[in-house]
Amino acid sequence: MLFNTVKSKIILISALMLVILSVLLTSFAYIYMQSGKTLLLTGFSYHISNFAEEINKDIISIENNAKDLALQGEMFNHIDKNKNMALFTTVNIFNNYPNSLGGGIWFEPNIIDPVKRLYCIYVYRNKNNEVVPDEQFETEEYDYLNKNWYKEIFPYVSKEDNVEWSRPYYEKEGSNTLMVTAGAGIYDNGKLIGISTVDWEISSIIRSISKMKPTENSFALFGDKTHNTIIASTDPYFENSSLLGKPLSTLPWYNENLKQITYFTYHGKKYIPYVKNLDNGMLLIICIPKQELFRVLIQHVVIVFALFMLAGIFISILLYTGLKKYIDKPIEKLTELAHEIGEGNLNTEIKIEKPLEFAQLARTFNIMAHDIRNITKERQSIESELSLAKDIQASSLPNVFPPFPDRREFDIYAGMEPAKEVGGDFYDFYFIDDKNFMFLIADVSGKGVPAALFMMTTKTLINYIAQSGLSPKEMIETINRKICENNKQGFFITMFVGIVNAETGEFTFINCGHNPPLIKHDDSGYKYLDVEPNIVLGAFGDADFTVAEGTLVPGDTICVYTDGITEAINISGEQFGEDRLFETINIFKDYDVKTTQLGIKAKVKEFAQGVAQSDDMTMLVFKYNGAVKNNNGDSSEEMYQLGNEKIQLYKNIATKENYKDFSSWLNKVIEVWSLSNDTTDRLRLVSEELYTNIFSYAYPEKEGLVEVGLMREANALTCVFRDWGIPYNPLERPDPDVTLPPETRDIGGLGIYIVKNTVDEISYEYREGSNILKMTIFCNI
Amino acid sequence: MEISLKKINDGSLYVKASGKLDIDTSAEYGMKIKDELDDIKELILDFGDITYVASIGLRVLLELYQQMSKQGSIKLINVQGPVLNVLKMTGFNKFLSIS
Repeated sequence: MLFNTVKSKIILISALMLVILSVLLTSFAYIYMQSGKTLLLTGFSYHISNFAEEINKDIISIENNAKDLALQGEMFNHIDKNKNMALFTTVNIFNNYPNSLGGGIWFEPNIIDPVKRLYCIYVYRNKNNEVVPDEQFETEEYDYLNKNWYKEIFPYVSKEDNVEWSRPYYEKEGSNTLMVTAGAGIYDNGKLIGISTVDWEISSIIRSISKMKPTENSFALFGDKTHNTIIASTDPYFENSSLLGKPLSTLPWYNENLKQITYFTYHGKKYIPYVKNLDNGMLLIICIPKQELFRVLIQHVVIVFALFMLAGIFISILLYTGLKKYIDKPIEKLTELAHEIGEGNLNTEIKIEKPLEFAQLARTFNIMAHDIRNITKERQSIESELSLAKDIQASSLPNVFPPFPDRREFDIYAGMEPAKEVGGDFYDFYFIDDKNFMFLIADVSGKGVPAALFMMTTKTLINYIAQSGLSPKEMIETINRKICENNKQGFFITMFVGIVNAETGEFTFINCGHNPPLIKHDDSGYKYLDVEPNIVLGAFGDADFTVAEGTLVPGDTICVYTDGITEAINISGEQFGEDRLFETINIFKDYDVKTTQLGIKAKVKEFAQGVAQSDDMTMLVFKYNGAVKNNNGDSSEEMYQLGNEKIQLYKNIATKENYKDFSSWLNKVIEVWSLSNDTTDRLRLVSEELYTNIFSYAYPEKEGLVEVGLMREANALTCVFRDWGIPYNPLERPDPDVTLPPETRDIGGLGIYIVKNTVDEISYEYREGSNILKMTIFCNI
Repeated sequence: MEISLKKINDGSLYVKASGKLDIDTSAEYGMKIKDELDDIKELILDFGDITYVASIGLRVLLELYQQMSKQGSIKLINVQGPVLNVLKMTGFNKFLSIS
């Protein structure tokens, strides 16, 4: 994970950049070093060659001087032997060669003059740089024929144009300087008759050589290879003057093959030798310590390398911070804000101006958030419309119970819970004439708004047709035909319709492809009503429907439901199913219709374990109580025919006139449950007082409902009185003082006082717009 | 409810009723007695067949007591258990002569 973040990538890229840069720099430095070395070596070589070339020019000039002189000697001998003329010409020649110190023409004994053994013409350059003749060398004292330079040159100038060089020597007689002499032969008809000489002062060359220090510890050697003599040396391990004239091999590093050697080691240091052989057989060698040669180069490379490296690091850091600032930070910011949007804060606006790509992305985010905001608004508006639709649909189904408080022949309770906001399920019930009560439950295929719209139309249609006096068969076939006529969308409807004659209990029912209803016919509990269903409504306009008939006896209860109940799914994907419904409904077989209906739904929800409802859940429970004899007087005792359920419910308008009716119901319950005298007395006392209170005080100037529920348990009787009148908690009223004398007594409040002192437990609650007083009488039933 | 009133000697009224003294019957019971109370010194209410007295019945008894206390006396005879319970509960036994 750590290496998948942009930040880590940035670090990686920066580091990689640095590495690549380092490698490049190192390679560059290496190449630079190599080429630097080559360049440096070439440079030194060139420099030294130039220097050698300068010397060579001097040498050539000296040699030419010597040759010119030799020619002059030959002409002198051959033509006129005029010495003055010869001197003049010689001075002129020397004026052409400014590097020559002096020189002359020397003849073998008696060549020019048979009387005069020694004959020479000599000129030299004086301190004023003027070339002047000097005739002191023609004397026997000097005897040039015995001078070393003469002996060294004369025997070797064997042929014309050949210039021979003497060893370096100190001229003691003349300028007292170190010099060498170049000489050429003078011939007369092929016979060597003398030599010309030119003196070359080499002190200036030695001075130049000692300055020839390309590096601090370089040293040079200037020698005469021909005569194997050292002329000058700056070798730091020898005294320079002591070496003059000594053989070259005096220097321990010197050897013949030095020119082929890259470097030699001398006193622990490596030296690179540059060897230049001059034209006159002289030798110039410059030795440069290798370390010094490359020190500067290395310094350069190190400095350049370091600078580049620093620049590299700097660039990498810039790259890192730049990337971080322009990529990482915006990403972080985007992520953070996207989170906020995700958490539902749709008003979040992302503000990024730079870099442009992220600004673009931020704009996209903002547009997205804006769209989501709009979509959410739209959805909220749709949801509120759907919620409204749900209310309209719910209000279209009868939802006030009991729906006919004055009709006690039956109890009915029903409810629909849509899966989405609106559903395709519905139920309905109404009297289709004075006696016949019709109830139905139906399920339109499909869900949502289209199904709900279809359901509303169908419900209205059924209501209209049902009240038109047709027989059940005619009615259902008409309904089917009408649905088919209007059914362009291919909806179909499963429906169960029951029609009960409230007086006789005759029961006619039609099952149009609907789930089998459950019916309780005796004490053994609910069973599935086994009737072969008809085809669903809306499929074929001319379908034939079979109507089933039976008779209900008081206490018979029918439960109809839609597949939303049986097909409710739990977490494991298991369906609630008909078997479980069968078991569940029988838990409630002794309870009233409302408890049964709500109880089953509660059990289904418990089963679903919070899994969202996938289909509408609708259930209707109808209980037949039997005919009510609608006459007056004492016979009203017989009005109620009750089953032996654990719960008995009474609901009616609370009036003084209806009190008899209530008494009659209460007596019937007492009889059916075989309550003891004591319990009966207490129950009657309480019921009388509370009923009186409700019709007297709960509904001032109007009539309202009273609901009385009785529930028996093994050792207690629970009695609940409920009214929807003005909120009033009788338990808050202070007890009257029953010890006061009758003259001063206030007669009010005695009733509730009696109630409180008669029951064992009493509690009051104001719920759903109703006063609910719940009492318990402990007794054995 | 059946109510029978009998004047005994001079100044005594014997009233016997059967059934419940409740919201339906109490008013009628009270009216019938009050109509006969002139010059009555002693009012005897036989509760032998009264099975039940509601609070509204108690009001009637209190009214009768208040009137009779001005002109004579009132007593209840043959009071049955449940009725006696109510009378005791409400303290009516404290001022009504009951047997």
